[in-house]
Amino acid sequence: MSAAIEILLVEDNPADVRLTVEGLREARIANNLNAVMDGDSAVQFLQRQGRYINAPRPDLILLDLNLPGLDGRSVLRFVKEDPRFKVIPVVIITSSDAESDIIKSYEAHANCFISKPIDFQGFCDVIRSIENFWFTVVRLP
Amino acid sequence: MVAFDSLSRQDGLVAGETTLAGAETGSRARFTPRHFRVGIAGKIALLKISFGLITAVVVSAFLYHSMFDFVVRERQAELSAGLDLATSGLSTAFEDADRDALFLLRTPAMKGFLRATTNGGTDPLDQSSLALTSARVADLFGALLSARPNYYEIRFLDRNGNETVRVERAADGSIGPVAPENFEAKADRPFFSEAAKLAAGQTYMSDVDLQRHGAALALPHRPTARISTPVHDARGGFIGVVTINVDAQRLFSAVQKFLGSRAQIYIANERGDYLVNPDANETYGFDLGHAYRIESDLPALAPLLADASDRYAGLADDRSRTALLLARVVHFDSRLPARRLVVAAEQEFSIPFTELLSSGLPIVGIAALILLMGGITALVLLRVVVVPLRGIRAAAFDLAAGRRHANQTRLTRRDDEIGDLARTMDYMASAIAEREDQLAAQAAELRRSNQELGQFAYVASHDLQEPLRMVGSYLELLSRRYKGKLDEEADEFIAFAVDGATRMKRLINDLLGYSRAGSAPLKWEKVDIAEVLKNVVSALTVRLEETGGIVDVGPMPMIIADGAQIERVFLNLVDNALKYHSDAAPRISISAASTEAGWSFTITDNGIGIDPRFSDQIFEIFKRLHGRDQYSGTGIGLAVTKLAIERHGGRIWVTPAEGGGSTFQFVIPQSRMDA
Repeated sequence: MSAAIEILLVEDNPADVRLTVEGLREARIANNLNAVMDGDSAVQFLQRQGRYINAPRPDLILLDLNLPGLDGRSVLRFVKEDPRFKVIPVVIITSSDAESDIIKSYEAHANCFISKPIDFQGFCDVIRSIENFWFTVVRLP
Repeated sequence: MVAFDSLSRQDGLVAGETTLAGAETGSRARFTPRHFRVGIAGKIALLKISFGLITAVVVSAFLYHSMFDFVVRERQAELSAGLDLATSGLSTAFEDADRDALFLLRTPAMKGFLRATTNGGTDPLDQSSLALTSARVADLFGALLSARPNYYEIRFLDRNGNETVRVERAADGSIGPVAPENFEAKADRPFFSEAAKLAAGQTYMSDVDLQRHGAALALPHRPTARISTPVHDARGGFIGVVTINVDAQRLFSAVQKFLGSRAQIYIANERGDYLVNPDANETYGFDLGHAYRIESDLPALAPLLADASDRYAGLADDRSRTALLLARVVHFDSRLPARRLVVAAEQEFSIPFTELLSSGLPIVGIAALILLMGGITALVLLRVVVVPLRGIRAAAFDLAAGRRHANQTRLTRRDDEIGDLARTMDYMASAIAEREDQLAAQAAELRRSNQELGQFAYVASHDLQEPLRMVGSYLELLSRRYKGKLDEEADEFIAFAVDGATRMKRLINDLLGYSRAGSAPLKWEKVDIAEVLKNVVSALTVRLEETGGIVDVGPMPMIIADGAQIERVFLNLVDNALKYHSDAAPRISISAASTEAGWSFTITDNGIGIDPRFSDQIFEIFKRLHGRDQYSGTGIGLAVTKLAIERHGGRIWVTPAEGGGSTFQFVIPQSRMDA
């Protein structure tokens, strides 16, 4: 195992951010979670603009679709259309399981789509499955 | 353990027979007369015409009848007067002859002749010879003959019945004595033999018959009546008979003359033999060896022959003609009243056409007037009633077809019943329009509030998920991190809180499902129910294996429905049946039947059954009949089921199954099947 992986969490709900932090704390893999609260911040983070000038390049993006300002779909489109970032895997984590959201996400080349489970155990299971998939099965570029 | 069967497509899809358009045409046709009919104007016209005709017929019949009676009475009086005159003339003629016979005996010429006869050929009074006295008698007879045109022969017969004086009127009208060589012997004739038996001053009337010379009938036939009276000498000795021959034909012609040519005269003697008959062949038939009788031709006159009656008046009415028949009895023999002549006059009559026309003309006029009035009434009615009624009818059709009613201003100004009707129609139209507007507004309001409600349910359940997820997640985090680190009570509290959050999550999920079932548009498609049930059973495989349940599926049709919703319906019902099972292994049977209302599906289980008191309540949202500890569930499944069925236009109900358990039955209308 290499150094701790960099994860970018784009999520406007602090409770969810905290929950993700707690979930990842229990994870096997060393990780470094960076959370931003809206889509504009996410784009700035990736482009190392403003206060994110020293931001690390994320190895994985956890993206909520419903965001204030620039929404999750626009962020996804930005990531997948920019050759610098499009190799970064994006996991959509959202409470919306509406069909249209799912289809639009896949059309924009989201790598994975996971509905937010309601209970914490389920959430931890999701985090773990992401870890397994991305860091033990897939060799990242 | 699942038995599937499928119906042929033919059984599954039943073609509908009527379309909406067809139904509308049918209802309109119901009010449109398909065959000829008589309208109000026609009916009243017919009524008027009938009245006119009936009036004309009744009045005509009455007038004809009274005119007939009047004419009968008038003609009868006329004929009767004529007959009275004629018969009295006849009687007078006979009486005159009677008196003339007696008169002859008292004349000097006759007395001288008698004296000469009894005195041996010479009158002792003036010494006149028999020849002279008989010449004087011949003169006397000639004078009487010339005075009385009805007499054609007067003679004197001696005591032996031989003619000694005979004067006659010749065919050329000249009057003169007959030469002695032409004298005839008449001893055997009744006018001599009967008269000879009489006392002086008596007369004998012979029957009326044809004159004879000897035994032969005189030619041409000469109907004759003979009046004889015996002649006696001063001592009362019989000397001979004086006889006057009366020309009966002349007498009877006078009768005909009195009565006019239109009357037919019948005269018969007391035996019924014809003396006069319109048919000349029958006249004096008795003298010619025939037997024509008046009573066989005119039976009504029999009483007159039998001396029971002296007169008769009546109608001879055999179908071919109507005739007046009057008869009188003429007693021509004052000594023997039984001897008689029956004089009958028959006069055919008819009411002349011109007379009928002149009296019937007003009636025809009245009838024509009534007919004309009928026609005018019909026309007026057509304009005043029928045409407006047609307009109102068209307006009613428009109203029924949903078109807004155009006011019949022209009619509503009328101050009569039609006007009332038109005004009422207008009132009705505006009332309907008002109500339609109200209904439309209400429908729009309902739609809006329903939509809002659906939106609310969706938004509420959706948005509630987010905070609930927080509560649940952090409760669980709390439980993971601090279980056993706090006291036992804290652990218990946390467990209760986690359980509550879990239930609430399920509740909100179901509510969301209910909201979707009520708001998502239906996707109509052909649905193979057998396929649907295969899916349902495979979705419930685990539950079936756990409970050892069996699902029996009968033949299933293809129907037109929203496949996903129908699958939800079956899934909920079968799931329900599995959930509320009794001690025995669940056994669920599903069958389908085509009914008038549509396809009817029946799901019967052998579960715990449902108290009939709650058979309606179980379909209400959040309605639960059992405690949480007995059976899990949020009480939304059946509400979703009912909602889905009702959105298909169908209905669902539950009844207790035989031997426990429940039977759920629902109907999906298939009016769209022909689409």
